[in-house]
Amino acid sequence: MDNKKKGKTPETEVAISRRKIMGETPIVVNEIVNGCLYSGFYGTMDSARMKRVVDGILDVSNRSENEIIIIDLSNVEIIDSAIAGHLLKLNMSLQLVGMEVFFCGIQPVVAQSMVSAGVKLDNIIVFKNIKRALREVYKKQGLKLVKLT
Amino acid sequence: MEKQYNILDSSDVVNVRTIANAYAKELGFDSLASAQVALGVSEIAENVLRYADRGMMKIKAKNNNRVLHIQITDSGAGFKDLTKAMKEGYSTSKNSLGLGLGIAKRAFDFFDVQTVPNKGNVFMMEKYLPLDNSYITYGVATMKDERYDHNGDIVYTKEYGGDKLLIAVIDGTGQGESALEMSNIVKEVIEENFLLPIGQIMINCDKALREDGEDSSAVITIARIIPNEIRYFGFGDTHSYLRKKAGTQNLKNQEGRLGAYQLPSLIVNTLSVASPYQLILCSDGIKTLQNDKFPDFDLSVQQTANFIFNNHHRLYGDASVLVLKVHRNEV
Repeated sequence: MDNKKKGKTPETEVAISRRKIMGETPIVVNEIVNGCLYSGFYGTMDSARMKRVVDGILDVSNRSENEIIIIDLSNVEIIDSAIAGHLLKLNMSLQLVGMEVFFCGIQPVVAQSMVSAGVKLDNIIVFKNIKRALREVYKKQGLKLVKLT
Repeated sequence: MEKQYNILDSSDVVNVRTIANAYAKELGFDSLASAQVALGVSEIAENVLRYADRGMMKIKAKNNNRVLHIQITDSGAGFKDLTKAMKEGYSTSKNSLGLGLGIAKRAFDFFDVQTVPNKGNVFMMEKYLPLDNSYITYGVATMKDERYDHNGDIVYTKEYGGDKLLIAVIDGTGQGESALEMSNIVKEVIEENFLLPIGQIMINCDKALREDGEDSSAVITIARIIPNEIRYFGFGDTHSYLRKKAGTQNLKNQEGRLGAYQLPSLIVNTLSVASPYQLILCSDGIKTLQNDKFPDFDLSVQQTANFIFNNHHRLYGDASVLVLKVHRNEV
C-alpha cells in the first residue's frame, strides 16, 4: 500500500505527518492471573494500527508460558469486515501456537450493527465481560473463588 | 452544508467513519443507526484504499435534516462488473470486495454505485430518520391458514426519505410455502425499487413472477404515503379503505393478477388527504368490510388491526390487515 503514497500533493503530506503524530501503538498484554494473559484494543483502531497490535499480541503470547488469553473488545467502537478479518486471523494464529482465546466485552450496539449488516465473526469464543471470561479460566484450571471466613 | 474529507490512508478511514457517526448522531439518529452509518462508511473507505489511489467523502443533510447523504468517490479502476461485485463473496482481489459492498448496502437505507471504467466509482449512501410516532403510526395483524406451515401473505412497510412511507399487502397465489415464495419475489422487487413510481414497480414485479414460472402470481395492494397525499394501487382481490372521522371510503382495485394473464395498463390513484386519516389494507383472508364494521376511529392502530382481524377473518386462507394512521399533515 505504501507505494501508492508517493504523490507529493499537500493532502498526502498532511496525512503522513498525522500518522507520525499518532506514533507507535502501545500494546498492553498482562498476565492477569496465573497462566492467563489479558489484552485489549485501546484508542482508535485503523487497520494499520490493528495489524501492529495483532502482531504484538502474537509475539508476546508466543514468548510467554501462558495457555489462555483474554482479549477485551469493550473499547472497540466498530467492527467492520476489515477489523473482523484481523480478529479472526488473531484468533486462528493464537490457536495455532497453542493458546486458547477468549474474547469479551463486545458492545451491544457494535454487535447489533454487525448482525444487521452481515459482518461475520464466526467460530470465536466470546464472553459477556472480563469477569465471565475469568470465571471460565478458573474453571478450566480447576480453581474456584471462595470467600475467606 | 456539505463537508469534504480526503481518504488517503488507514487513519483517514477512522477519521471519516468517526465524522459520519458524529454527524448521524447530531441529526438525531439513534446509536445503532449511527453505528451502521459508521460501519458502512468504514467498509467503503477501506475499499477505496484497497482498490484505488485515493478517495473523498462528502457528507450533508437533506430534506429538512431528515436524510443523511454521504458520497464517497475514488479514483480506482472502477468495477468491471458491478452486479458481480455487489454479490456476496465475489472479489477481484484476495481481500473480499464483494462482502464489503454487501455490508455497506445493508448498513444504509439507500445505496448505489456508479462506475466509470478506468476513472473510478461514486458510492451514494443515504440513511433516513424514522418517521415520528406523532406523525404516522401503523399496526399489523397477519396469520397463516392453519392448515399450512407458512403464511403466504407478506405485509411490507418501508420508511424512507425521512417523511415518506411505502406499504403493501402482498398475497401470493394459494397457501403455504409456495405462496410465500411468490410473495417474497414481489417483496424483493419492491425492496430493490422502492424509489420508482408504483406503476413501474408493479411492472417489474409482474416480470419477476413471470420469470419465476407460469404458476407464479400474486395480488397486491401498494400505497405510497407522502405528506398530504396517498398514491394507491390495488390489484386483484385485496381490499382497502380510507377512513376519516366522518366516514369510510372503499378504495377501488383493478382486476387482475401480477404474473398472470395480460398485464393491463395500470392506473395508480392519487388521493389528496388531510389528516387525521386511516388507511386500512386487507388481504382476501379478511371479509370485505362495510361501513359499520370498523371499530372506533380513535382506537390505536394495533388495536384496530386486531379488532378487524378477530371479527372479520375468514375460516380459511392467509389473512392480513395493515392499519396506518396519519395523525398530522407534516412530519
